Amino acid sequence: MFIQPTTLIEALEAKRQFGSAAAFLAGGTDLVVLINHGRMPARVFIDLSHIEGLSQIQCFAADQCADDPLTRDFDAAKVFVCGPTTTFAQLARLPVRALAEAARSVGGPQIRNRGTIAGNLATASPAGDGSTALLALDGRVEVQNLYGSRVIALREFFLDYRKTALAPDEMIVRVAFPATWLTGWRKLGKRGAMNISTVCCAVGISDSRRVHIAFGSVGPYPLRAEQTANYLTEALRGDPAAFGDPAVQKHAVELAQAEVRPIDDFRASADYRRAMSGTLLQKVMRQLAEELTPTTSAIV
Amino acid sequence: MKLHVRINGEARELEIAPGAVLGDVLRQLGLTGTKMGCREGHCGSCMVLVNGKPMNSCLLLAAKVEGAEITTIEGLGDVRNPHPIQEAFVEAGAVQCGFCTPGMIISTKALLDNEPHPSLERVREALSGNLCRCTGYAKIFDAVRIAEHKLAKASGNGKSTRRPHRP
Amino acid sequence: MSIVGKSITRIDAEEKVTGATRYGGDLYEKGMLHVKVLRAEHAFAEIVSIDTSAALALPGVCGVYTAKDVGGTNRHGLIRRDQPVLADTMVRYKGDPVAIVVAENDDVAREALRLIQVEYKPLKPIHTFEEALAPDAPKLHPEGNLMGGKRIRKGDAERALREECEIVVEDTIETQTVDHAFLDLESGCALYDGDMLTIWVSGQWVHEERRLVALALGLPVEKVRIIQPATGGAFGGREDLSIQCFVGLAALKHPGHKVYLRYSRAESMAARHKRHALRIHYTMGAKRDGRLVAAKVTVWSDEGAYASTGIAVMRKASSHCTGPYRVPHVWADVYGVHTNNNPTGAMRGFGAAQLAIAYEGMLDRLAQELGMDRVEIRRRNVLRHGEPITTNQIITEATAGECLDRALLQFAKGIDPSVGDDLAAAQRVWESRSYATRAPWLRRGYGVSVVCFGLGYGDAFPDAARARVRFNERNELEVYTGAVEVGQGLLTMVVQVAAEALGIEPERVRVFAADTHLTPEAGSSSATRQTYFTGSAVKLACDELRERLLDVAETYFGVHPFEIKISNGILTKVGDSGKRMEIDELLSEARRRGVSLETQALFKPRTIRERDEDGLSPRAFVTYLFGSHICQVLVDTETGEVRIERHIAAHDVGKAINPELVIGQIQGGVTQGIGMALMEEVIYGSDGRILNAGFTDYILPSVRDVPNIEAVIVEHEDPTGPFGAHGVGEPPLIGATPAVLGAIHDAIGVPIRRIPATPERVWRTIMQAKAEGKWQDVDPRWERDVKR
Repeated sequence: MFIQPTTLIEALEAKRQFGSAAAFLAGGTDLVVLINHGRMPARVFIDLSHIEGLSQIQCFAADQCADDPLTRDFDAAKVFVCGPTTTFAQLARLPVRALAEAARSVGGPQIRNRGTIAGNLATASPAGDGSTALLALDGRVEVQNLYGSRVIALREFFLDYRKTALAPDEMIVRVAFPATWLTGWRKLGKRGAMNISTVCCAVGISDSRRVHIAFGSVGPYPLRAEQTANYLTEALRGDPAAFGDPAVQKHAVELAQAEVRPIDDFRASADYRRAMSGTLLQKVMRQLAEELTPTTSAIV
Repeated sequence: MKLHVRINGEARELEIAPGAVLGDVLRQLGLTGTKMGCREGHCGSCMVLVNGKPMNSCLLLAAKVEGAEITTIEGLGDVRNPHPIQEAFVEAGAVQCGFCTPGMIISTKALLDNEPHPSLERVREALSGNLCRCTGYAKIFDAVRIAEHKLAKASGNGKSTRRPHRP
Repeated sequence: MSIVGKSITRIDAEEKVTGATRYGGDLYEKGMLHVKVLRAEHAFAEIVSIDTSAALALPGVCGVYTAKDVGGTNRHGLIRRDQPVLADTMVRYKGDPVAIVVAENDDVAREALRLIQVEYKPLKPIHTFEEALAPDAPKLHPEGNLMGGKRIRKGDAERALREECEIVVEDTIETQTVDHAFLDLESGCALYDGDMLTIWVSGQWVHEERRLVALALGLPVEKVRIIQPATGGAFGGREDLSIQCFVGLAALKHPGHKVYLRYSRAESMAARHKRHALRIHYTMGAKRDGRLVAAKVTVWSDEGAYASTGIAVMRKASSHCTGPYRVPHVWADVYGVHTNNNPTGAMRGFGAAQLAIAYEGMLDRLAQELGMDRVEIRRRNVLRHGEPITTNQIITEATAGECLDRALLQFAKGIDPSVGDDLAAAQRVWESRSYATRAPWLRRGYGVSVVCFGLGYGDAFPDAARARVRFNERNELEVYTGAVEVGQGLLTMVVQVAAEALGIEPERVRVFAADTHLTPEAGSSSATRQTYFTGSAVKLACDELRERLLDVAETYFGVHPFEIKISNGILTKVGDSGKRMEIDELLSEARRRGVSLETQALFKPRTIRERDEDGLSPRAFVTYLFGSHICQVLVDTETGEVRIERHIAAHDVGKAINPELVIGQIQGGVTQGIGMALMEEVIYGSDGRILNAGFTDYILPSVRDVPNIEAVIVEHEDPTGPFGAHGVGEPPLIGATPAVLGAIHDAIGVPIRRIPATPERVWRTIMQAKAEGKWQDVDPRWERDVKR
């Protein structure tokens, strides 16, 4: 069955009715591959493309955010709020480097025109580039069912391999992340375009200089590296030039390599992924060192 | 279910299954210029324009394009009356086995419709969703440049040799 | 020459750019029956029983067929007929077909596959050489798991390595399993009208496919007709039969109904043969001045489950084991081993590609040990005119060195355009090439390769092409050839050769190709042979017609025929353009006189079999092609990522009949070679399943992975080929892979032993170098050039 609701309520009603037999259909870039492989992922498709306003991006100043649990206390002067069907192509134009570069590295241009932010999060692929960048931004989602909504921090959103905190009747309706953080991104794959991550690394530094780090393809889902982030937050408090300090880089690399949980598969070995988690982090740190203390000369 | 679309300018009402993939639907209509090479969105042979935007028709449920305007390779021109981009691919020697060619031409059209004079990086970007196993891409770049000049000439000198953009 | 040497538009281009061309998958019509194939559940198992009753009972199923329903030998194979159409007693790889379903639609056919009950007795699958050759290993075939071998014994390599060589390098190099990955998936249809079985499926040799289908399905050869639809790439991947017998069998069982089959990408990869993965142990010995003395090579080849063209690949690998170099002492042993991996067979390069990686890699190791430049060591060893190649065949026109010079000139011109054709200046530019990069962990490297390729089947295998030509009533020249166009431009080549030979306009030539009942046998579109073979056959036939026409014209012009020129469809007397005659007029006159305007020709040069005892032959191949590449890379030594900055490929093609098509072949071949060097690899799971059977994970080079490949055409006319041409198909791939790998070696100082050189493998190689103390954190050349 193919349902084409024109309002969010209709979409949620349908999801309520059919539960896990139904799938929300946005860009379809993951879902239709399953159909093509003869694995019909759902009996009912709920097409979100006829609901207005689902791919809007808005920017709010901090003082506008205080009353909204989705956007308050972001440690940022401004916050972006995206609708669920915001595409990678839209994200690629945002002035948030980690997310924009992650979005630009997904698939080819046509995939980026279709693939959506909520689709990327809900698919919960361990290699999700967009999800990894959003984790480093400490982003949040608002999920809604017929009866109400709740906010989930992305750090609590991914539960296991392709498993999320979304209930069968819920839908991601908004995604929020800081607009003013300093961020960096580096991805490693096997070719120059249409590249699946072997490892990817995103770093976000909040307005008050708190560090957030996330990795893709080194665990059952995109991971945050809390200890490494804590260490770098401290280091940055002590020395604004810490990111350019080889000793700090070295220690951060070691911490990150201990925090990631990669496995061996045919795309790469766990060893390599572990090592590269550190290497990519170091590369992003070099890049960010330049911006934290512009006198440092860094080459990435 | 019923699907209403315009395909290459012609209004169509089609009976489709809810899970039908657009590329298959087009091919069943005899529009076999749209190729299917991987069904994973990687080869780009299935590229069509949906309301002017290039999309992998292998990753698009037909039901999603209700009311849309679809342009396939057949909608650009035919052997007797080819589109300037099609002529450019011939002139550049950008065609070998030809299986990727319709997709490459569709991606090129989408690019040049929006950016008549793209930089090399923009061309590379626009073609980065299309794989070619035969040519090594160099002559495809040449073809895009030739197409760019043909289209510029056609629109620049006032009396267009480029046929009006088919709706 | 007015047409040969011109880049005329390929004759199928307009149809291709407008989407009008019909490939196998485009032949579907409403009402056709759908065929689907059930494949093995295990990579290695005995079949105990097959129960098709549940599938047959499904509404919409028209038939389910297994081995017992196949009327003929149920076996095919290009060299040994060892591959079952449908497995009878045993399955030997995951792609082995077990049954086919014929149904009214695709969904029913798919569902019916699930209802076929096959009981297996699984055996432990064999994936490695060691497993295959273990004394207690189960046998894939009655004759055992060692499929065959080939040797070369020239001089006394072992003694020379011991006594004559002043320096010896030794290493093991492993190459990977590669998929052809043509974009046009195996697909097509068939019809049995009660008398004739007609099959519309793309292959590479319609006449051989007809023989194989007839034998396997039990039909007289003349009752099978194969017609080639448009073909979206082949690269060797269509040499073995693919779906011909499945649609053929289905059609035979349902007379009067057209049947249709189309693989998915996953099925295409699971079913098809692959490029051989080789393990090459190479010992190369030289004098201190870099002169090669001896090579000792042992090759283990993964033949997979069936023989395919493996024996021929082994022979090509051995006969090309020292490339275009002068090596007096050669010892080579090549062994083919059956495993439960996919069968391995033809792919562009055909064994010569893998060995080029080895001999060029060893030459780079030797240069490094000697502290010699990698261009210089090649110059010292490359064959000169009249010297013997690996198999002792004398190469009268050895142009490898010329190709190297031309590649070097192109390299230099990219840096300093004023170099022009000054080789000494080019050499200076080469010697001062820069290793400076933005950071010490980004390293640049330059690779050089010089390669050779023996054209055609060689080795005394019957190698021939026929062509038939006739002027029809509209005075068009009809050319009939059994050769197949797979994308390379064969049809256009035929037009140009015919038009040139007869002095007519290309527009006047109509080509009919690749239909067993309409066109004469031309051999396969493979082995880089069709320009040489079919080009020659077409030229011979046209030459005959031309002589007949000149005999007629002689009476009009009143001069000896050699004084009459035909060009662009007009006859003139040499030196007197006043008197002229239109070819249409001449053809009318010929008809009035009863002169036959139809003829055919056979081109069948001989080769001499490589002797079993030493692998040597005075003429293993009809002719040799040479080429040379230079590749420039940037390696991120922290991650192992490689970016190709420049790639130059110079190839002696004899004569470029259509330069644009030749350049296209070079650029495309190089790109496949880059794919093989850096990213392409079929990966098997422990159960024998291909883990990356799709384009998400079988990585082909994208537009961002190849530079603007600089193709250089070298023309050293081959008197034995049509208008001096020989061929171009395979050498560009063969040259590309070792040049890329050589460049990585140059950048990081240590060679990559196992390809593809994925970021992980490059990184591991660097890690190992660090562990062995062979690594400097900063390359001295980088320091030197950054300061410069």
